[in-house]
Order: sequence, then C-alpha cells, then structure tokens
Amino acid sequence: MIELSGLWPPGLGLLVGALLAGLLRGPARDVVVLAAPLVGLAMVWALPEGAAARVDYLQYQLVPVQVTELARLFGTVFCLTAFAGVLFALRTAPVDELAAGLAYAAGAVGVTFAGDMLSLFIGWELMAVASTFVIWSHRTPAARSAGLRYLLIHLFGGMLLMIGIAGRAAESGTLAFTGMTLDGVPEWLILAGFLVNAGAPPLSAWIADAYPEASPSGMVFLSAFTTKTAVFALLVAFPGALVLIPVGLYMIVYGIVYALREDDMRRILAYSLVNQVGFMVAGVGIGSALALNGVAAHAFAHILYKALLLMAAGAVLHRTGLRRCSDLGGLARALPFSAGAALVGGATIAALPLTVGFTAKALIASAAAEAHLTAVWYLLAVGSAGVIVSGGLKFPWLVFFDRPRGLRPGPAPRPMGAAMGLLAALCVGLGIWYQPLYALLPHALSYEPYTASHVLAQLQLALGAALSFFLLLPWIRRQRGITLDWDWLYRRAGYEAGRRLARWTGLALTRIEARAGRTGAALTQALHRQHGPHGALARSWPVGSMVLWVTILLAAYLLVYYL
Amino acid sequence: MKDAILVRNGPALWVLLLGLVISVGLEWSFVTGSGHSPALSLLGFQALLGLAAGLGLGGIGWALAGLLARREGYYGD
Repeated sequence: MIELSGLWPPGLGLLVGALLAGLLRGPARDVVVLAAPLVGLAMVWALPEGAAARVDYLQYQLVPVQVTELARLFGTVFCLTAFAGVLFALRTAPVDELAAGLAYAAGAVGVTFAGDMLSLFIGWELMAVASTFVIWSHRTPAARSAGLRYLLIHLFGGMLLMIGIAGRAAESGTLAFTGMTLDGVPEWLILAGFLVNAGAPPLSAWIADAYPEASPSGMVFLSAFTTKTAVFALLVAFPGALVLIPVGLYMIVYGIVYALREDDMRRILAYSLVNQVGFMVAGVGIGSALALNGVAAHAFAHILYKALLLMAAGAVLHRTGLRRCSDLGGLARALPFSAGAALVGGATIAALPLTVGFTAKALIASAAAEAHLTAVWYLLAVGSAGVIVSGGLKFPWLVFFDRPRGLRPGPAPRPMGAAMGLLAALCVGLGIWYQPLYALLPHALSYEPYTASHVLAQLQLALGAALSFFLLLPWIRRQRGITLDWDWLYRRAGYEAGRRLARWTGLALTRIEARAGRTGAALTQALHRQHGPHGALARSWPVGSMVLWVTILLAAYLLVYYL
Repeated sequence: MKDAILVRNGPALWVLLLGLVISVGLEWSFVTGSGHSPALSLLGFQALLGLAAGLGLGGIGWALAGLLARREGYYGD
C-alpha cells in the first residue's frame, strides 16, 4: 500500500535538478541548477507539520517523508547552502560537480525527512556516492586517490549502519527511525555508522584527507551535508547517550590542535569542521532540551559560516592556485570581498556578538552548566577559545592580513561574490534577528543571548584567545610538511602490512607449489618403481610364497577379530 | 628589540590589550553597579581562560609536532 497523500519528498526537487543539469546547456542549465534548491526549499515549507507518507514494503512500513520541526530546520539550511554552493560554483565548476552537488543535497534532505531506517539508508548512500563524485570532479590525481579512500570509509560506515538496521529489524520487527537506547549490538552498530559520517575517532582523518582535494567550490558542498546529517541522525536516535560527551570533547581538542599544526588553508578549515562537529556531538550526549536546541542551532549556524569561510578560501585558491598559508598573505587589498567574507566567517565561528555564532553557540555550554557538568563546561570553554585561535583567526589573518607575498590576483568572479554576500548576510542577520532561528528549534526556548554578562564573557574569551594567537604567531607561521593522523594506520601501516602479507603469501604459495611438485614427482617415481615393467609387483611370484603371504594375512585378521 | 613579539605584531597586540583592559573595566562597573562586591578573582576570568586555553592547546600542538610532523609526501601518494 502506498499512501503518499501528496507529500512528495523535498529531495526530489534537487534530484530532478541534478538530472536536468546533465541534459541542459547554457542559461537554461544555470536557471535549473539555481532553481532546484529553491524548489526544494519551497517543498520543505509546503509540507504540513506532523504529516507522514507511508509505503508498505515486504512486511515493513516505510515512511519516506515524516515532517518534524528538526527535519524542517535541517532541510531549510541544506537547501539554502545548496543554493549558495551552486551560485558560488556557477561559472567555475564543471557540470558533473554541479549535478553531483545537487544529488548530494538531495540525499541529505532525504535523510532529514526519513521516518524509517531504510529510507534513511537510501539517502545516506546517495550522499556517499554523490559526494565522492564531487571530489572526483576536480580531476586531479590527488582528488582521485582521496576520493577513493573517502568512498571506502563511507562504504564501511554504510555497511555498519546496514548491519545495525537489519539486526534491529530482526530483533524488534520495526524499521522506525526514532530514539534508541544502546542496549544491544545493532544499536551500537547504528551509532558507529552515524559516527563514521560525523568524523568521530578513530576515523576523523577522512575529512581533512578528502575535502581539501575537491575543487574550490566542491569543498563548499562537502562541508555542509555529510557531517551535519550525521549530527541530525544522532539528535533523533541517540539524545542523551553519555558516550557521546567524551567522543565530542576529543573531536573538539583534536580539531583545534591539528588545525593549529596545519599550513594548508582548506585543511585548517577541515580540521576546524571536526572541532565544531565535536561541540554538537557532545551536546547530543548532554541530551537536555536546551542542549538539543543548542546542537540544532549550532549545526544551522555552522553550515552557514563554514561554507562562507570555505568560499573565501575557495576564491583565493581559484585566483592564485595556492593553498598554503606560507605561500599566501596580505591578500586583503587584492581580494577585499573575500577578505570581508573571511572576517565575517571568522567572527561568526569565534561567536562574536552580532553574528549567528553568538546567538547559536552559547546554548550547548549553557546546557552543560545547567546540568552541573562543570568539567564539560570548562572543556567547552577551552574549546571555544581554541576555535577562535585555530578557525577564527588563523585562516583570515595568515591569508589576508599577514606579510604580503607579492601576489596580485584579480577579484573573485561575481557569482562567487554574490554567494559570499548571501551567506555573510545570513551570518550577521541571524546574529541580530535571532528569533526566526530560535522559532525553528525543536524545543520551546526562552533564552536571551544579549545579556551584559554573556556579551562581556564572550568578548573577553575572544580577546584572551586572540592574545594567545599573536603570541604564538611566529610558531604558527612556520608550518610546512604534514602532521601524521589516524589515517596513517590505513594509508601507511595498513598498506605496508597488506603489501608484506601479499608478498609473504606469494612466497609461501610458490614454496608450497614447489614442494608439492617435488613430492608428486617422488611419488610417481616410487609407483613406477613398484608397478613399472621392471617393478617388484610386475614380476611373477612362486605359488608357495603367495600361499605363505595369504596365511600370514589370514592369521593377522583372526588375531584382530578376537582382540 | 626588532624581533620582539610586541613590535612584530604591533597594532593587533596593542588593540587586544586595550580591549582587555576595557572589558575588565566594564565588568568591574557592572559588578559594582549591580550592588555586588567585586569578586576580583572573577574579573577577567574569561580572558585568562581564553589566553590559557590558546597557549595550552598551542603547547599540545608544539609537543605533537615533534612526534607526528613529517615532511611532504610521507604517505607515499
């Protein structure tokens, strides 16, 4: 039975746009790729609250569309970012990147409106495949290798998720995508599948490995969807799972330390992405209504400001072809609009007043304080200060304001500027008029961000952290080379172990074959010696000796029988 | 003196220090203005936390650098 009741999945608008993008050319294609996210956004808002579409499949009931406040919040920001991403990429990206980007967004929106685990899985895998094509569309050897590693990691995560879903369906007989408790192996596998996409340890390195190898516009798409759908899934399925608090705190510190060590501007932002998702994962672990509101608001804000920062970095990369901070510097004069975007993005990630970071990011820390989790509150504050240094200041300062390197790039193309302007306006607009964002949150919220103590505390934290940045600046500048990460285990140790295993297996097989050959030859010779024309068994034997042998054998048989 | 940090990052550092003084002053006025006795230990606490956190995390990064930093192409691809 199919009961859609006119509830079409909002991801469909994006998916149709992705398919048409490949068929059309010129202005018609521009119109379609820009319109598709807006159609998706309209579909998100046309769905009535609480409605659900149902489809019977085998003995299960699938719910491909289930409208919740949380789904609408994530669907809205996904469609907005898809629009900004397409606009940013419009004049520079190949058509396959645009199509893959839209399909990727369709998968993400599909996940947010999924009411059952199978529909969620379909969107999940669509994201994995489409995002791999986003990386591959950069068409460099590094992008090919990184894309393949990325795909393998995500197929592994998808496999864990699928086993967990099947196990849960077998145990409980339901595929419903609702809150779960970690009391069985299937639930742990589902959690592991979600955490792989969130960039949790020990598989955090895929973000910094794969994302920076995408094109300047490709990384904008990549930053928005995969990790945030994982956060969405954790919000729905595992609110209050305490194990998520240490996982999130690890991600916070890991992201900051590695971003501080990094020289590649887009890898800095990739590590900072892990760090920000860490706040959200920890917030899900705290699990109170305020914390869950904080996670949703932080995810919404983070998608906007991270895309903005990556657009600024993408514009620099597009114009200069350089990605290392040590090769860049003093570009604010040549790329003023991008510098402005980086400053707004940096101020937002630093949660300065009048930005959406300020209005959205304080909720999780407040929830930790409200739950009397003092150590967690301190670590979140330390993380907030670290973010200011590693994400808010390092990239904008080193690329746009540090020592000039004599580069004179032209300004960013207009569509890029328009996309950055749109996201910067949202970052500031939702920092000043934050009520529309708060109204979208899943739980009722009475929180006033603009209190004197909050403004002062945040300013002081930012000033103190900024002071440490300038004290550390000489050390932060000199960062060439790479820092080993967990991916060393599969890119170096695992590869080396596999190579040695293959060599040893090959050697062992050769030896076994040689020994088997020699043994076979010896056996043939022995048989030939006994049975050949001159062998002992080919000769005629005297009757007397044969009778003697028969008697011996019969006697032996009798003896064995009576024993 | 030419290599001193304060000279190298001159304007930014002075602006930051000025901002810190102003913010602590504002905090003082809010605390005393609200009728509470100024808890000196809390004034500027967030700024100190920010400074300590930045330096601490930077220190961890510095320590890790010796252990984990490698030249380009270490992964062999």
